[in-house]
Amino acid sequence: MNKQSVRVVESEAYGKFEVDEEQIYHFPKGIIGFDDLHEYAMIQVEEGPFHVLHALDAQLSFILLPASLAADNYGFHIGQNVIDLLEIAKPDQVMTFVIVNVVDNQLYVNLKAPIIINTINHKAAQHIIDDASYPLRHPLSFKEGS
Amino acid sequence: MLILKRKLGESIIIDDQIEVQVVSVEGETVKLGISAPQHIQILRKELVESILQENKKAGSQMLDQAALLQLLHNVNKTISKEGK
Repeated sequence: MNKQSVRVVESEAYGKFEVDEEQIYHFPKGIIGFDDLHEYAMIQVEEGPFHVLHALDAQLSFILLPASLAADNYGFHIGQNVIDLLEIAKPDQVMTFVIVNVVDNQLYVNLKAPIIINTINHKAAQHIIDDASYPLRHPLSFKEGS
Repeated sequence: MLILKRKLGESIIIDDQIEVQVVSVEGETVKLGISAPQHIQILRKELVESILQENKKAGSQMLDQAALLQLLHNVNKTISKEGK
């Protein structure tokens, strides 16, 4: 394992931090709306499930949550376009995250367009699920702790 | 942009592999039939546009990071409680 830091990110929001190769993901087609940005670092927030996906070459970042924590029974068919783009050979290479959005102090997750990651080659893409039952804003709520 | 006139039932072929046929025309609504290889994703433009807007909003929130991280911190606690 190469533990040497390979990139330094100077983020206006998160300060200056170093990332190593294992944290870098390549988006061949970018993220929708940001087609020109292909390199992102993924950093876990504290010990929790949230991650920050930060562009290496821009002041742009997203908050991600593993899809399994975002909604019950969240599943979908990954399109052949994504399988080809990310060179996915086996289902267990895939990890799925959803983008967190905050509107009026309420957390939402975008179930319509998750981020798909190939954990082997670190290629990633935003996949659009063309199905009206997947909402763009799904409220993130948790049962009150007992 | 290329503009073509097509009649009902007529098609166009894009790059030898995508066929777009005019299936029906009713008033202002045109129904298109599209045949394309599996690796080509076909989407309504307004769907892509809505995701683009949501991404821009989500990506611009880094400026409110202090408030956001506090919110995430609270949710983290709730999730870890749930996970146990």
